Amino acid sequence: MPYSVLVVDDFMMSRQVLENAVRQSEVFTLAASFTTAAEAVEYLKDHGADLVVMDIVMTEGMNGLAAAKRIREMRPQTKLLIVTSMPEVSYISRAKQIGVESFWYKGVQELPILDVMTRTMHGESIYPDSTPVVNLGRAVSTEFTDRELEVLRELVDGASNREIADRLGITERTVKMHITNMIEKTGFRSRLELAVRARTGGLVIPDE
Amino acid sequence: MVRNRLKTDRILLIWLLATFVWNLISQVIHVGYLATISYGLLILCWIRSLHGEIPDRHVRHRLEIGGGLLILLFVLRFLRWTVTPEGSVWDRLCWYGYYIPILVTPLLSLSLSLAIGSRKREAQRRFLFPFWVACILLMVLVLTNDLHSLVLKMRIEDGSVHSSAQPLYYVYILWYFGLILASFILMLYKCRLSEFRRFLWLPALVESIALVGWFVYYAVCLGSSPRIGGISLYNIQEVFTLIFLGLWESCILIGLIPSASLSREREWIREGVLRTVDAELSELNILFDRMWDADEPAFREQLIRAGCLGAFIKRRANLELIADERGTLNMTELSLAIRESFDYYSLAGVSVGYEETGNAEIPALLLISAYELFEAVMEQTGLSACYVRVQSSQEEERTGFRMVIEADPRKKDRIRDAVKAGWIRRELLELLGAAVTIGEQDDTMHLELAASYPQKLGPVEAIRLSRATVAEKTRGLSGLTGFLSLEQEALAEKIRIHDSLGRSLLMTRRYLECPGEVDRDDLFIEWSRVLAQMNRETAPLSHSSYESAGGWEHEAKELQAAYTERNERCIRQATALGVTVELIGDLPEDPLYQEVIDTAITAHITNIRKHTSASRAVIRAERTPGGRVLLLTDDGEGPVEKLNETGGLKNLRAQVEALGGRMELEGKPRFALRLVLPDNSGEKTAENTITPAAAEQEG
Repeated sequence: MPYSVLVVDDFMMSRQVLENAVRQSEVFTLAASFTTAAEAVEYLKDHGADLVVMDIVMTEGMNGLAAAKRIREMRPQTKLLIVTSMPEVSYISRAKQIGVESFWYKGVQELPILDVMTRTMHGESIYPDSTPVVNLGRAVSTEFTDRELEVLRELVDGASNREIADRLGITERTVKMHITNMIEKTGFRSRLELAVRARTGGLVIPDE
Repeated sequence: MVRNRLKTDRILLIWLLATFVWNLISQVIHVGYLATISYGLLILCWIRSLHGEIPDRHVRHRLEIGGGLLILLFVLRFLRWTVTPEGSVWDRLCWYGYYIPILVTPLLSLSLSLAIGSRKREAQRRFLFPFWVACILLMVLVLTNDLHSLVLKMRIEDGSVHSSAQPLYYVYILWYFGLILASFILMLYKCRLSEFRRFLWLPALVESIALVGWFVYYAVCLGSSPRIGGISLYNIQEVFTLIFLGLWESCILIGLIPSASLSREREWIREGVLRTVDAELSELNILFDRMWDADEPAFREQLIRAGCLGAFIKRRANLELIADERGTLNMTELSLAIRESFDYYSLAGVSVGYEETGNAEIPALLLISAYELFEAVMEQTGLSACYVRVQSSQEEERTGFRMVIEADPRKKDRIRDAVKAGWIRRELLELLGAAVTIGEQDDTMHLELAASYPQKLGPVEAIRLSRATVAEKTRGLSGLTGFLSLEQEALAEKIRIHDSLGRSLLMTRRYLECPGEVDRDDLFIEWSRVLAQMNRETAPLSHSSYESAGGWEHEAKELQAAYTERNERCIRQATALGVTVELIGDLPEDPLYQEVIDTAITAHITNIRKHTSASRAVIRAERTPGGRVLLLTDDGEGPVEKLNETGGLKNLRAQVEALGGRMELEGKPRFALRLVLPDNSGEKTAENTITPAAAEQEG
C-alpha cells in the first residue's frame, strides 16, 4: 500500500515538483497539498498522513519548523521531511531537536527527493553533512564561529548591542568585538550592512 | 494628447514670414533700418525661447551661439548702412566681419546634425576638429584681406566701394553651401525615423526655400539683392537667418530636437502633477546634462542615480494617481514603491532590506508622507545600508501604522536636517495622531513614522483629510474655472508620466544589467523625451485644440496616425527590453481607445519583464457582440497564483472604466488581461468571443 504524503510549500514551482515526484512514484500517493503550514496542521487534526514534506519559510503564518513541532506532538507516527532552499545555519540543529526525521536542501540536491522520502519511510534519518556555504561579503559562512553566528542572529532580529549582551549572557563589549570581527571578515561598512546582508543572503532568517 | 505632432505654439516661422513682409513695407516707407531691428529682435527672442525648452545643453548652446552670430550679422549690417562712412576701413572691417557668422554658422549646423540623437561626442569632436581649424584660417584670411586681397579686391569708384571676387572667395561660397547641404541631408536622414517621417516636409520646405533664395542671390543676381519694382526682396543676411533658424526651428517643431511647448493650461497641469517632485526633477535634468560627456564608469554611476530619481518621481506621482475615492491606498503600494526604489539603490551598492506585516488600507496622505520620508533618507549620500519595516494593524476599531527606517549614513546630521521638526503635515498630526521620531543607537539611525487613528474617521475629519490629499493633487489647477476637462487631462498627464518613466526605467535597468543589449543612444533619446515631457508638457487635447485644428475629425485622423506610430514605437521598445510582441487581429481604430491600448501594452510588457520569465507578449484583438475585445497573454509557464492589481494595471482599469469598458484579470490556466471596450463603430461584429482557453487552443 503506498504511503500517503502531505506536501506543504508556498512556492508553486517547488510544490509542483514535489507533487509530480509523488505522483510518479508507485511507493507514494498524494494525500493533500497546502501553501501554508497552518492549513497542514489543521488538516492533520482530522486526517492522517504517513509523511509530511514541508518547506520552512512560508510567507504567511507559522514557519515549517514550528509546524513540525506541532505535528510531532499531534501525530508522533507521522514522519517529517523538511525541505528548504535557505542556508540558515540553525535549521539543521533545530530540526534535529524537534525530531524531524530527514532534512533536504532544494538547491543542493545531494540525493534525489524520492530517494530521501523512501529511505525516510524505511526508518533512515537523512541529514546533510553541513549547511550550504554562503558568501557574505569577502567571507564565507564557515568562517564564522558559533558565538559570532549567535550574535549575528540577534543582530538580524533587530536587537541592540545591550540587548544582545543580555540575551546571550555576555558583556556589551564582547558583543561589539564580535560584531567588529564579523565586519572585518566580510568587508562590510557597518553593523547595519552586516545585518541586512546576512538576512537577505539567507544566512540568518529570523522567525516571524 | 499627441506627442508626435507639430507644435503649434512656437510661432517663429510665422514671425519670420511677417518680418519678411515688414521688410518690404519698410522699404516703401523708407525706414529700412527698422527691418534690421525687427530681425535682430526676432533672433533674440528665439534664443530666449530655447532656454528651459531644450534639455540637451550641447544642442541648446550651439543653437544659442548660432543665433548670437546671426545677431552679429545684423549689427554689422546696421553699422555699415547707417554708421560707418562708406569706403572707410571700419566699413570694410564690418564687411569682412560678415564672414564670421558665414563661416561659423554652417559648421555649427553640421555639429548639431551630428549631435542630435547621438552621444558619440569624442568621435564628433575629432571629426570636426580639422573643420574648426580651417574655419579659423579662413576667418583670419578674410579679416586681413586688406593686407593681401586674396579674398576680395576692393576698389573705390565714384565714391562707392566695389569689390571683385578673387579665387579664394569661392572657397567661402563652397564652404557655406557644402556644410549647409551636408547638415540638411544629415537631418533628412535622421528624419527617416517613422515618428518624424510624416513631418519631413517642413524642414525640407523651409530649407529648400532658403537655399533657393541663396542661389538666386549669388547665381542669378550675382551677389545683389533680387528686386521687383525697385524694392529689394531680401538681403543675404535674411537668407542666412532663414537657413540657420529655419532648419533648426522646424526640427524643434517636428520633435526631432526633443523639447516641448508651453501653454497656460499645461503649465498649470505640470504644476499640479510635478510640483511635489521639483527638487528631484531639477537634479535629474542636471544629471542628464552631465551624462552626455561622461566616460563609462561615471555614466553608469550617474545612470543609477537617474534611475533612483526616476523611480521616485514615477512612484510618487503614481501614489497620488491611484488613491481611491476614499483617499486611501493599500499598504502594498508603499511596498512596491519602496522595493522599486531599492532596486536602484542596491545597484548603487547600498545593502537594502524590506519587511512588512499587515495589509491595511491607509490614508493616502499618510502613505505618501511615508514614502517621502523614506526618500529623504535614501537621498543622503554615503549610505551603506538601509532596512525598512512597515507594519499595519487593526485592533478595537483603530488602525495603527508604523514605518521604521534603519540607516547608517556617513553624515547623520544631514538626515536630521532633512527630517526636521515641522516636516510632518499638520493634517497627519491632528487627524491621524502621526509622529516622526529620530533616534540613534549603535551607529545606526532609526527613524520612525507612526500613526494610530480610528478605523472610521468622523465626517469632518474625513473631509479635512480628503481635502489635504486633493489639495496636493490639484494645487496647480485652482482658479481654472471653466476648464472642465482639465482634471481629466491632469489624470492623463500623470498616466503618461508613469508610463513614460516606466519605459525609461526598464530600459535603464536592462542597460545596467545587460549593457550590450540596449543601445546607449536609444537610452539617451528615451530619457531626453521623458525629461522634455516633464519639464514642459506637450499640448493636451482641449476644446480650443479641436477648433483650431478644424474640428474633431481632423484631430482624430492626426491622433490615429500618431498613435499608430506610438504603438509601433511601444513595440520596438518592447523588443529592446527582450520581449517580442505578437499582434493578432486588428486593433480598434477609434482614436478614443488609442491611449488605453498603449497603456495596456505598456503595462503588460512591464509585468512580463518584471514578474515572469516569459519572452513573448501576445495581443489578440477582435470585434465581438459584447464590444471590442483585447486579450493580452504571454508565453510564460503555468497559472499565476496571486494577481496584484497595482500601479500600471490600476491606471489601466481607471482608463478602461472611464470609457465605459471593463477589465478582467485571470491567473489560470495562465496570466491573461482582457479588456472589453464598447464598440462605437456601428459595424457588424463576429460571433466569437476570445477567451484565454480559446486562445490557447488556437495558439
